[in-house]
Amino acid sequence: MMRALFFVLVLLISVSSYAQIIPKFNGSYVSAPLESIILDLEEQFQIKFFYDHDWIDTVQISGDFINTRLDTVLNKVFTNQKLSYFLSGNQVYISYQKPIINQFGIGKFFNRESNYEPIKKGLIFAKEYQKDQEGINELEKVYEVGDRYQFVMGETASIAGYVSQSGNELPVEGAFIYVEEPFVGTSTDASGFYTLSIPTGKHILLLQSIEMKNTYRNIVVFSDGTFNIDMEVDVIALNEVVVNSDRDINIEQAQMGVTKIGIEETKSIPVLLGERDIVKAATTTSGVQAVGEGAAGVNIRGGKADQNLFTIDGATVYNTSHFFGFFSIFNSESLEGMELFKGGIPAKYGGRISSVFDITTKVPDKEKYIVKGGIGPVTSSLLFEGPLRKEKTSLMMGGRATYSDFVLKQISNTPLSNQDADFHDFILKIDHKIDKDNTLSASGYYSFDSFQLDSDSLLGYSDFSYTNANFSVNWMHQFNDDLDGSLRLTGSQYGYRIGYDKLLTQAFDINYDISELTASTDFNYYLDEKNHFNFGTSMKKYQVNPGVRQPLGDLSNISFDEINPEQALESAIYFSNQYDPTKNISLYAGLRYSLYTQLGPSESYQYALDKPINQAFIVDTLSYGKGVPMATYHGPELRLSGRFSLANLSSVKVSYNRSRQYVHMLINSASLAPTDIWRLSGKYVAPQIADQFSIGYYKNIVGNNVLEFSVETYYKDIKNLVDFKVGADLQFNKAIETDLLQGDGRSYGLELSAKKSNGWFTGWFNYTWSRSFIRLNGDFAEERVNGGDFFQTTYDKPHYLNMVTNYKFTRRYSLSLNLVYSSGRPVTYPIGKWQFNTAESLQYSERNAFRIPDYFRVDLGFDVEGSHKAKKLAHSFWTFSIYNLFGRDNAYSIFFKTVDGDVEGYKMTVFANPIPTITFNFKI
Amino acid sequence: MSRSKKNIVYLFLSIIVLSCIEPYEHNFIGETENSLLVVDAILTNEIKTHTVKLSYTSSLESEDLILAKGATVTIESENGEIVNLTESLPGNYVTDSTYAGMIGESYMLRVITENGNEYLSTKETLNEAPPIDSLYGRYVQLPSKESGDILNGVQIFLVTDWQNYEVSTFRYTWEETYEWRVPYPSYYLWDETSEKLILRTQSVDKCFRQETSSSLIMGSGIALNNQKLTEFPVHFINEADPNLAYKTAVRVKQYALSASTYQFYKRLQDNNESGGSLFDKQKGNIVGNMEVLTGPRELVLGNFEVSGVSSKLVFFVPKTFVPDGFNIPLLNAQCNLIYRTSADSIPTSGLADYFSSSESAGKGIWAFFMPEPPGFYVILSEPCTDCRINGDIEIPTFWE
Repeated sequence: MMRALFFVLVLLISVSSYAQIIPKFNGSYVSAPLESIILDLEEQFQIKFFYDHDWIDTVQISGDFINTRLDTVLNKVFTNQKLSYFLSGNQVYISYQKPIINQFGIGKFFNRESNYEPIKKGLIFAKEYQKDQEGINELEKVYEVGDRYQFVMGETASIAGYVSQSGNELPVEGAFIYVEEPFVGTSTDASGFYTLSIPTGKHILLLQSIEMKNTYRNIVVFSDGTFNIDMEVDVIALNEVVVNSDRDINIEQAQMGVTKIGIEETKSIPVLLGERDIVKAATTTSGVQAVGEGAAGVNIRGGKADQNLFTIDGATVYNTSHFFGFFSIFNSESLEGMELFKGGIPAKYGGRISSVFDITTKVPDKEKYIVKGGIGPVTSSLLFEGPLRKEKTSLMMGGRATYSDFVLKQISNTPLSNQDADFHDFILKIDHKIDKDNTLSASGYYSFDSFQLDSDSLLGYSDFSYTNANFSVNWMHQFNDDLDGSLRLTGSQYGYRIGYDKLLTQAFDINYDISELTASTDFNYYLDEKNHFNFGTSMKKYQVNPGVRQPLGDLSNISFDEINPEQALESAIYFSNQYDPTKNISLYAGLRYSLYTQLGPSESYQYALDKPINQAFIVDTLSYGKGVPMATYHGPELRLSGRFSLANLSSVKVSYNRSRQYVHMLINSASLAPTDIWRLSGKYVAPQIADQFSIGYYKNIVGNNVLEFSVETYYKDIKNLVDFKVGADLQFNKAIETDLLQGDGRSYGLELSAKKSNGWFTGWFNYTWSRSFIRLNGDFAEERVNGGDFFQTTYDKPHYLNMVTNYKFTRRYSLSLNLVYSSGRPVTYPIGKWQFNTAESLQYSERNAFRIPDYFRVDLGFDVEGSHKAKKLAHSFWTFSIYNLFGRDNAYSIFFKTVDGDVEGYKMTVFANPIPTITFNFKI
Repeated sequence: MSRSKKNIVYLFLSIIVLSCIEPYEHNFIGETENSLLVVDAILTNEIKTHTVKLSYTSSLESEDLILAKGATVTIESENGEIVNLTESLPGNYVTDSTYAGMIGESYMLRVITENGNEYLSTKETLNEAPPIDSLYGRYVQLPSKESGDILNGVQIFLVTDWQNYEVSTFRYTWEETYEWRVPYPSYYLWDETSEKLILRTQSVDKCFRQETSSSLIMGSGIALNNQKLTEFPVHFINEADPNLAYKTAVRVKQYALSASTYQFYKRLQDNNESGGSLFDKQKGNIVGNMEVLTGPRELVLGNFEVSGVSSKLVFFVPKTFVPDGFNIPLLNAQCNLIYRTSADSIPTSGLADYFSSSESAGKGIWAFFMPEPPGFYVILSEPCTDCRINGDIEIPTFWE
C-alpha cells in the first residue's frame, strides 16, 4: 500500500515539476528531417535527446510551433509515429516501437509470455465508436490504448496500468481484470498495478473486485500501452468472484501456507443460524479443521487449539467464541478480512506455534455515512460508519446481541425456562489521516457471554460468564519513499467468572483473568526492487490471575482464597528480508529472537528430586519478591521460505519455520470450554517449540476459467506439547504443574486443493490427509501415557475433505453448497471393569485408542440480493440456509455410563436435524 | 415477535441445551487382552481384620470377578515391622483380627503375585482422624440427580473440626439402622405336627434393618474457612422410604485421607461419572499409589488407603421433623388383606386344609393376624406380619 502511494507521489511530482519549465518553442518545419527539430529543441530547452539514428533518419516532420510548451511539441512530434519519447529531467529518451513508462517494475511484465493462441480481432466497436466521445460515461466510451500507427492485426500487445478507487485514487488490490475472448486475466498487485497481454483490436475489459463495483471498459488496443482504470466502491459488493485476491499470489509470492479470506468470501458459504463467520469460513480451507459441531477452536496442521494466534488489529484475542463456540466473536460486518498463516509464518508474528489469524477491521468510510444491519433468528447486528471530518477522520461503531434470553422468558413450562444464555459484542474504530505521511488509527473491542446451566451438567458449576476486551492504537508513518514504520500499542484482557449457587452454604464464585499489554514497532524498508526488509521489536507484559474464589451470600461457608498471580515479560526482535533476485525466484529469510521471563511476586512449590511432581512430594515453598525473575527462556526462531517459478504458471515453494510459545491454554476436554485457563510458562512448564518443514507445488490453469491447484506437504515437530494426567482438575488448582504433562508432538500431512474463482460457478475443494501424534514419556508411571509411546492426539483426523461451491443464477440469486467430511476424532473407550471399594470402575483403553464415527455434513445456502439500483435508499439481501441438510446425526461424543451394572454406550449429537435459518441484512 | 421466530429460537436452544443423546452400539469383543492387577486395600487404626483384595480387570460383559490367588501380601511399617497377610478366601488377604494401624506410623503394601510380578505402594502415613463434632438432620427438598424430581426428606449433615490435626481431606461412610415394624404382626404360629395354632412367645412386630453407603462420599476442607466442615451433607433419608417411620440410628465414619488418596478417589469418582456434556474430560485409567517394581511396564490399578478413623452415632425420630412438613411414611400400603371379612376368613376348622393346600403354600401365606373377637383368622402375606422377613429381630447392641 505504502509503495503504491509512493508511485503515485513520484508521478505527481514529476508532472508538476515539468509544468514549471518556462521556455517556449518557436519553429516551422516542412518535411524536415526529425533530427533537425531535435537539435533545435536541444538548443532551446537545454535538453539532451538519446536515440538511435537508424530509427529516425527516414522520419520527416511538418508543423508550426509558436510559443509552444515542450510537452506539446514532443507530443505533436512523436504522436502518430512508431516512436515514443520519455522525458526525464533534461533528458529525452526515444524508443522505437516500445513505449517507455516511468513506473517501477513495469518493464518486466511486458515481456511476459502469453499463453493462448493469437486471435485476430476487429478494430471497431461498430456503433459506439461513431458516437461523440464527449459527455458520455466511461462505460459507453471507447478508449484507445497504444499507438494507432503501430497497429498490426493479430499481434499481441501488452497493456499495463493502475486500477484505483475513483475519488480518492487509492489503489485497488486484487482486482481481477480479464477479457473473455480469448480468456485472459490477471489481478492487480498491492499498488493496483496490472499487466495483461491480449491480441490487438477491440476488447471489452472486465474488472471485478471484492470491494469495488464490477465494471468494464471498451478498449481498442493498437499496441503496447498504458491504461489506467478507476473503479467505484461497491454499495453491496457482488461476490461474483469471491476468491480472487490470491490468484496470482498463489503462485507468485514466496510465502506458503497463507490463506487470505476477504469478508465477502464468507458470503459464499452457507451460514449457521444466520451468522456469517470468518473463523468458520477459514475451516473450509485446507489444513484447517474444526474441533466439532458447536465447538470452539480450530486445529491447524495437527496443532492444538491454543496454538493459534488470533489478533484483531494486532491485539490478541484469547477466546474467539460466543455461546459455546456456535458463533465466533467477530462481527463480520466490521471486518476487512483475515490473513491466515499456517506455515511460512513471517518473522513479525510470534507467540503461537501453529498459526496466525491476522484479522483486520475495516477502515471506516471517509466519504459517506453507511448503516448496515442484519436480523437473524438468534442475533441481530447493527453497524455504522462514516466520516467525522471528510477525507480526514472517520468512525465505525457496531454491535451485536442475542435476544435468546428474552425469547426464553416467553416460553414457560419447559426445562428451558431455567436456562439463560446471553451474549453481545461491540466494536469501535477511529481512523485519522494526520497528513500524507502519518495515519493514526485506534480500535476497541468488547464481548460478553453468560449462561446458566444446571449444576453437574458442566464441571459442577452453574453460572458462567466471560468477557474479551481489546484495544489497539496504531500510528503509521512514512519516513520516505523507501521506509515506512508503525508504532503500535495493544492491550487484551480475557476473563471469566464461574459460580455455584444451588446450595447456599456452598455458594461461591471463581474469577479468572489474563491480560497483556504490548508495545511494538514494525518497519518496512525497500532497498530496491529486489529487496524488502521488515524488522521490528515487540515487548509484551502478561498478567494472569489464575483464580480468586469468593463466598456468595451471607450463608456461604466458603472461604476467600486466591492462587498466586503470574507475571511475565515476553520481548522479541525480528528482522527479515524478502529477496527476489529474478522474477522466477523469490526468497524470504527472517529471524526472530524471543526472550521470556516469569517474574515475581509469587510462590513456587519445590518437589522432591527423585519423585514425580505430585502434591504428595512438595518439600518446600519458595517466595519471590516483586520483579524477581523466576524462570527465563529464550531462543531464536528462524523463518525461511522460497518460491521457484516454473514454466506454465506453476511454482514450487519450500519453507521452514520455528516458533516458540510461552503461554498455554489448559484444555482438558475435546473442545474448548469457557473455563479453559491460560497459564504462563514457568519453572515447571517449559515453552512449546515447533519446527515445521513444508514443500508445495502450485499450478494455475488459465483457459476459459482460472483454475488453481496446489499440493502442500508438511512435517511438524513440537517440543513440550502440553497435556494432562487423567482426571486433572484445572480449576482453582494451586499446583497446576502436578496435573500437567509435557511431551513431544509430531504431525505431518498432505493437502490438496483446487479452486475456481471466476465465472458464475465458483468454489473450492480441499482434501487433507494428516496425522498428529504425541508422546508423554516421563520418568514415573504417573507421568507416562500409553507406555511412553507416540499415540494419536484427540484432534488427529486423518481424512478431512471439504468443498464449497457457489452458483450464481443472476446477479441477484445465488446458491451455495458446503460439504464436509472428516474422520472421527480419537477417544478413549472403556474396555473392561474392575472392582474397588465395593463399587465397579471402568478400565479404559490406551488413551485415544478408538475413534468416534466419521463426520459428514452438507449445508445449503441461498442468497437473494436486493436490486442494484444505485439510487435506491436502502440495499438489502436475504439469506436462507439449511445447516446439515440431510439431518445426519453426527456424533459429537461417545460416552459410557454404568446402568444397573452394565456399561451402556451413548452417542451425543449436537445437530441431528436440518437447521433452517432466514436472515435479513440491510445497508443504508 | 412472531410465533415462527419463537419456534426457531426454541428449536435452536433445545438443540443446544438438550442436544440429542441416543444409545450407541459398540463392539468391545477382543479388546481386553490387557488384564491389570487391581489392589483394593484399606488399613485403619481400628482393631479388626484388615483385608486386601486382589483381583484383575475383566471384560465389560464378564459377570465374574477374576481373583488374584496365591499372592504374597505384606504390610511393612517404617519401624521395620512386617505383617504377612493370609489368603482367607481366593483373592482375599487378611490380617488377624487384633491388628490395627498406629497413628503416626507409615506403611507400605507389598504384593507379589503368583506369577512373580511385584508391586509396592508409596509410603503412606496413618493420620489421626479428628472427631465428628455433630450429626444433625433437617427436613429439606432436593432435586433428584437422576430424574430432576423434587425429593422430600431428611438430610443428615455433619460438622467436623480439624484444627490441630494433620489432615483436611476425608472420606465418609454411613451405616443406618432403623426400626422396622409390620402393620399386622402375627400373634399365632401354625404348628404343622399338632395342626394347631400356638401363641408366639416372641413378638415379631418390631425388627431392625440396616443400610450402608454404597457410593464414595468425599469431604475436603481445602476451600473452607476455619478448618471446619459445617453442614456437610452426608446422607439423605427420603420420606417415601420406611427408614424414618419410627426411629433410626445413623453412624458416620470419618476416614482421614492423605492428599494423594483423596485425589485418587476424587478422580475415580469423576472418571466413572458419565460424560455427555459438550466439555467432557479426558478419560483414562486412574493411577493410585501402587507402583510396578518388577513385571511388565504397565499399570497397576487401585490404591492402598491408610487412614485414621473416627465415628459418631446419632438417633433420629420422625416427630422432630413433622413440624417442618415431614410426612411419616405408611408401612401398610402394600398389605392387601387376603381374608379380611368373616366371609373370607378361615374358621379354625379350615386351617389344616388351608395350610396343606399347595396353592396357599406356594403363595407363602403363612401368618396370622388375629383381630378381636377371636374365632376366625385373617391371613396376610408374610412380609406384612413378620418383621423378620425384611429385618433382624435382634436389638443392636448400641440401640437406645
